[in-house]
Amino acid sequence: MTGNHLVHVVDDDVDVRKSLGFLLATADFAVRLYESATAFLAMATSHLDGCIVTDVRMPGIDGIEFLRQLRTRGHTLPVIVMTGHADVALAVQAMKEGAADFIEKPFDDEVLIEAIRSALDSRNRTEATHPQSAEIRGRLAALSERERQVLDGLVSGLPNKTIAYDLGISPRTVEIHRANVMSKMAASSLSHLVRMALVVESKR
Amino acid sequence: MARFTALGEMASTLAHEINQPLTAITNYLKGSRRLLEKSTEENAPMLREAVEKAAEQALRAGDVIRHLRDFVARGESERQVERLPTLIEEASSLALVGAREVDVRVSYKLDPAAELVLTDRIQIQQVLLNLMRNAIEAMQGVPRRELQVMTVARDDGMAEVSVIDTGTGLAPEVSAQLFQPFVTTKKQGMGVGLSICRTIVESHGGHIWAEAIPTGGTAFRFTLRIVEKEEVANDR
Repeated sequence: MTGNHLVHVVDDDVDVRKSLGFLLATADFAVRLYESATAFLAMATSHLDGCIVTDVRMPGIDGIEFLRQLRTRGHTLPVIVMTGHADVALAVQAMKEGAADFIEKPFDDEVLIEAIRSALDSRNRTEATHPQSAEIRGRLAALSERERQVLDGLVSGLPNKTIAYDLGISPRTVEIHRANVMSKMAASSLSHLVRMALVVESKR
Repeated sequence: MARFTALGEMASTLAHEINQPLTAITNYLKGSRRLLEKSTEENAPMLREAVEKAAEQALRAGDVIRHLRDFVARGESERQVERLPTLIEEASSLALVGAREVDVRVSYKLDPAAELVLTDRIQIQQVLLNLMRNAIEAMQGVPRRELQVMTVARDDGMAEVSVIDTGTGLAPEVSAQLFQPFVTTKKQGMGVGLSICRTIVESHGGHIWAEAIPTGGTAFRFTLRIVEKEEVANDR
């Protein structure tokens, strides 16, 4: 039973790492802490339980390279990527490299715990379904075609000006569409929006 | 542009450096709240609430940093259609903490035609907060202390927001470089407040300036483009 609730935390910042250990312990997870991706890979045996929570910006092997190496070595643990710098391009890259989710530091504990639970659950199902994906799909369906195009541009990490140019509309119109997309999707931030769009997309 | 870059780099570095300890603070507080949920101590409910509130504040600091960083990194920030009167009301309640003790009279004159604006709420509130706090400070020690916040919908589609005080006015040598970074008349202050205000307002496509009021005092004014109701999605 405990094996299902094991969380491997990889973060080079010792204080953040320890604080995560404390938080996850209070939520009844078994936690192991690693100071680097290298330290994790050195410890990793062929049979691993649980999930990984890793920072993205680390000296040596960064979060993205870590995702690649895990896959190369045949590890299938779900990985939740934390970022202190909500760079959309980076988030998209992480999701494409197989991250189960990405969250922005600092985060609400419920956001992290929910992400961990759904990552652990997804291991037990062949066709993984994010608990919220039906809800997100519903919101997506409410977007107009133009809003959907603007969303696609945002998810690709394009600035408003480029999206405007590509769609042949003014940057101000893009801004209004963007604000409408944010409110229809109930997104609290751009990275939250990207996360929702990617959660649905990766399961298509 | 140099001003923008210097502030931008500072904001970006600060954001990264501050987010790490904020993450640790939030995690410890949220974890403590979880432990307190199981506690039967008499004081546990009060402690739980205090710890939860502290965590919320740490997350709020993270929000402020994120908005600032998004904005300097992309030159654009997350904008939503907001009600200008609400923004003013919320910023006022923060700015006026303690204003009653110094006995400042506050009045509002809001133009109903200047209602919806496309803004980063946190940033524009920061501007309003800054201007109102400056206004209150400028009136320290003068007999007449009246703060007025006014909005006007202009013919060119802009909302003009004014924060007007009855203070001692600006010295001419200061007003010329008022919005430059690191210029300040305050004993304690870095002189980045108005400089950041200008960067924020200009990134929203507006202008900010100061005017001397003939009867005494200063008006700080800035503009924001008004969003027409037809431009907003039908469901709001």
